[in-house]
Amino acid sequence: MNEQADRRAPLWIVGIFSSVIWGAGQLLNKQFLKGFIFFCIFAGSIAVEILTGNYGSMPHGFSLRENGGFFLKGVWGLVTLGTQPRKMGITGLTEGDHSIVLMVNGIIAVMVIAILLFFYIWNIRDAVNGRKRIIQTGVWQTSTEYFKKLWESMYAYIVLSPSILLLLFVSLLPIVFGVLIAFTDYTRNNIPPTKLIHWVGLDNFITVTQVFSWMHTFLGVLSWTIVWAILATVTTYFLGFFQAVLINSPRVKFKKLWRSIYILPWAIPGMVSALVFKSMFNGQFGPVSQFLVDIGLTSERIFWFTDPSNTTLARVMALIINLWLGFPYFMALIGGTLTNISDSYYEAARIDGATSGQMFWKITFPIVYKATAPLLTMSFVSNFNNFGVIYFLTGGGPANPNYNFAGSTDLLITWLYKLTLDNRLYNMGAVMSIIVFFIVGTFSLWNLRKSKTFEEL
Amino acid sequence: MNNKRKSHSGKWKTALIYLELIVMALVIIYPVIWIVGSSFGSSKGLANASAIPANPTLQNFKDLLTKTDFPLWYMNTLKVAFANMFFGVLISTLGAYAFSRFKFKGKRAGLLSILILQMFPTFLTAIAVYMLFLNFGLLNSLTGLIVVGVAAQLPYNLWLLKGYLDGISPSFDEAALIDGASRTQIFVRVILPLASPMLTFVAVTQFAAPWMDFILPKLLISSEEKKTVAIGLFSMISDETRNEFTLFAAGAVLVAVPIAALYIALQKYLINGLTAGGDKG
Amino acid sequence: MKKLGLLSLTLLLVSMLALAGCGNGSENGATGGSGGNAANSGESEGIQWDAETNEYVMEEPIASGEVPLKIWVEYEEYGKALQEAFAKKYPNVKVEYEIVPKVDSVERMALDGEAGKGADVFTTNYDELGNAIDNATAAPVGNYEAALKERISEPFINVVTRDEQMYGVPISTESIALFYNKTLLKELTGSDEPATTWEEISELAQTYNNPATNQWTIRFQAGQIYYAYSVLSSLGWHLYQDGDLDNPNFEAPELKAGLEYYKGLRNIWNVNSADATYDSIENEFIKGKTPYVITGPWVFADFDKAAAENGFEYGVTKLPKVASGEEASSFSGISVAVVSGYTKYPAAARVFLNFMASDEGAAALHQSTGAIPALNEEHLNNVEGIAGNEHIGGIVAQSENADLMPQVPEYLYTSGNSLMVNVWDNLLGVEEAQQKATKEYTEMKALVE
Repeated sequence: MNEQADRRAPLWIVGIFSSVIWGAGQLLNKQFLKGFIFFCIFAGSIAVEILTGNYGSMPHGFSLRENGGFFLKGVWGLVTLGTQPRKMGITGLTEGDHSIVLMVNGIIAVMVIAILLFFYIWNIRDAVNGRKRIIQTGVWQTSTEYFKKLWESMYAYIVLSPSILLLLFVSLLPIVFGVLIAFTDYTRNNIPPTKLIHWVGLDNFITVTQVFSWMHTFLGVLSWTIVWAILATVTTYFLGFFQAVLINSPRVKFKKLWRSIYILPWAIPGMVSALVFKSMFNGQFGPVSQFLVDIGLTSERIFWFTDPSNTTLARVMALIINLWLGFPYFMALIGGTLTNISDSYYEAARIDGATSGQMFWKITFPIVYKATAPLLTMSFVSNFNNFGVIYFLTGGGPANPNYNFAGSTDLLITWLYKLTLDNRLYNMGAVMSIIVFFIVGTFSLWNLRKSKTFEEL
Repeated sequence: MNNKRKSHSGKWKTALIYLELIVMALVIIYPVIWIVGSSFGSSKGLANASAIPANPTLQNFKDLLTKTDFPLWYMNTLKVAFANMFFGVLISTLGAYAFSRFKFKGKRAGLLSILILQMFPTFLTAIAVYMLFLNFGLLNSLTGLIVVGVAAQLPYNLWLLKGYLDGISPSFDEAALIDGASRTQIFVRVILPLASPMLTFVAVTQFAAPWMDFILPKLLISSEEKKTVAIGLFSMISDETRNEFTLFAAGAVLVAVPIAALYIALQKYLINGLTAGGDKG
Repeated sequence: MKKLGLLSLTLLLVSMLALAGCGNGSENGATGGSGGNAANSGESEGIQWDAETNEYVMEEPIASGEVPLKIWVEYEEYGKALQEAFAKKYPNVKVEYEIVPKVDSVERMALDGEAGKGADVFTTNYDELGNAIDNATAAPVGNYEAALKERISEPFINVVTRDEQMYGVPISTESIALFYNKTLLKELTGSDEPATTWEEISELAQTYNNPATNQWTIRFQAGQIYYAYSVLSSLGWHLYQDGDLDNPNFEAPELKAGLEYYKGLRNIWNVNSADATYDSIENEFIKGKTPYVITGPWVFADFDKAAAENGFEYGVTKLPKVASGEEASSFSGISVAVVSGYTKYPAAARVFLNFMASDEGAAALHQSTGAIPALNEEHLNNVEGIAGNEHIGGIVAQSENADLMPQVPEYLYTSGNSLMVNVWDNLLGVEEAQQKATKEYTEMKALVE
């Protein structure tokens, strides 16, 4: 290709070059390194497809199922969920499709394709825009210059890229998968690989609404879950806050010692503590009940977690134990935040004759709250979906005869697990986790809006 | 007169504060002693556990160290914990730096999506992550555990650090910018030191997590050589027919040691992060 | 947006590298669904049965020791013992074991199998086997069926059978029985003979029970149908009476009678169902203060140790019946060994499976973990250390009264347990509780189908 042709090549030629072979347009623009990199992505993707596929032998012509690689077979699998179940025989499973594997691989493939598509479009636009600049200014920008400029203008995206990549694949992928399951017939009667899963549209959502007799359980569990999530968050936050402020007080000596003691619940695996509390507060055999009877404080044993006639007690106990487990986290967090507050504020307040209470509510609290408000919402969310504490502490009990498959301390998430995972009703579980998601989402977005976090983003 | 009364009430206040601290300390310590005590207990079950066991014995620790691969699990977990800490802090601080200090397209949407990602109940996560790791060759590797560990807390850490950095006045970075520092230099020389209390906090949480997570790791790790402490310990109390609680408690005590030690060691960074007198508003 | 970045470039390169790396590194893995089983296609002609030795002919790579056979067991000791015992019979074959708890193995095999890295033989619990058959991690036993049926009693065989095919081999029995403290009984009643009826136990309870100090004559997990079943069956109720999984038989009049009687037992064991945890039950027996507990053979090691330390003798016997009723039945709780549906060496895996139930395999199990092999009485006594062991005798005697149980759906336990809790904790009247259990069961079933 000679110099003249290069200079005369109009925009669309460059664009078409790049859209057929990635990087070709950049080559015309004499941005060799950039062109090479685009080409590598292009060639790399094709290589992946060919290496993971089975393009060597096509006796019956090309079929996506038999010959497709990572990308093509992935998309095929996601769309069809397989066409041929495996069969069990004395020699083991025959060859065939595993719908769930196909589905996950398909989602991964689609995600990678989306990223590639983004590069593809970038590649074309870059070629065209690069050419435009050449025509307008007559200056040929080198790849190095381009990358330097890119580093300048794209700095935020570049430093965010590891986060984006991780969140996309490790956080988003399971969620997409979980959502898609809600539109399938994946249940205990339809378990791959000897059976195929199918797309069933909105059937499962309709089924859920038909189980009216469960509405009562759902509403009961939901209201307790909300109460739990709010109280669990608020109590741990404020106790943590309180302890952090106390330790921070100039009156207190041996700060390090106190902090080291209070941090212990955090250092012990939560499940161990939960099991130990369960044993300590066993109503009939636990030492706490016995102790209270022995010293004559109560005439009968107190059934902390197991008294069906007193569900409030079990709920309060669960909150208290959660407080024990959770406050060190906020104490450490807020302890760090407190050091972020300038002494000058307090000095100014002291000169104005403010009491320590006033100083706390007017200075300390607003600053710390501002820094931690979004975290409170996140903590609310994680308490809403707090599987561990309830599961290991009460197992959902005490029993509630008015509920279906749920006890009085069951949270939406523990109920959902018992109901759907234990019984392998995966599609129903997915439907319900979508419902839970909408409830939590609405609640926390409303809350965030109130705390004015949004305006500051 | 007035002065005297003030110091009098001050004494009362101090006494009250100490009283509260002591009561809280007792409430914290009693169950902890119970757990430690049960690790010295001679029978296997949890119900037999007590703060001061009847026949204290070191047998559980001995069994743990000799009859199981605990030392190996421990080393694996240490590796994962340190890597988790390093990468977790690095990636989330970089991200938070971007969210806090730069204006860019998609920032608001990005922050919101991160928040929303957190709200979805994790359902069938195991299958998806398993298949992902299968595709990328990360199954049965400690690297895989690190990826999961960093990603799991990333949304929370991003918001946490962003909130903290927002609280630090940009005047510091601006000054450095005027001095001709690049953004990466600002990040390393200005942001990292200023954010050290929160970095410490994130570091400790990142360090602690691999000692306790077992639900996902037990599916991702198959060989004995790659097991972490959490996987090994929780298999000891997997069901009614396998209830070696005292052995488990001994393991839990050994787990708590490095986490508590790290926290205590890093305390001064957590608390004295900012140089006094700086403009922190 | 052309500028949207170098960042993505780098990340893509990274992911490309990862993908490429994966292509080299784990070829089996990358193709997942269809590739994992490549080895099977090569041997699809079937596996060979040697009629002379009554064994499958092991695949060459395994028989020659070129490739190890991989098994999953819960206990290190058992894995080691099996390895040694198998090596005596098949010195060329290499066996590797990994520790996977029985409660996790099916879930893990479903994933590891697809990834082409699961074990060839694994162990699980009887209540997970239905799941394992559904998700094809359990493969049929094949020609060994006839031989195994001679060695293992019918209730156990029934647990592992679906559509007239065996999908696993019962390895050890975890059936519950009545454990009694001989020394304490002698002190209290003058005889160390255990009670055979609940009435006898109640009589002792009149004098021995002292709720204030938590002194109880008998302890058991009252809120679980698994434990309550002995009382209910003694009064004539049987779960799924005609083997029909649609009808758990929750509204049978026999059940009403059984539940009324069961409720009456609260007089001698007045504890909320949720407080009666298994560790509190075992622990109190260990202290030597409880004459009777209902539990399973997994406590042997602890009880033996405690008996020696605290100076008592204990015995194991059949579960008590109701005086006016029949012998008490129980569910057959067993651990099961299974050939993975994903194994590349189906013949060798089955040879190993059969070996696990052989005299040598059973001896390896018993000597390493103290568990009771799930063989019938005749063959069990061939196993060293079993014959004459009274404790084991008690469990075996009870397990012979086990009800025939196919793989029941998970919700049987959920609805059944909530039935027991509702009755025991007096939350609902007996009839109401029965109706609720039926309703839960049928609704759950409808939701599944």
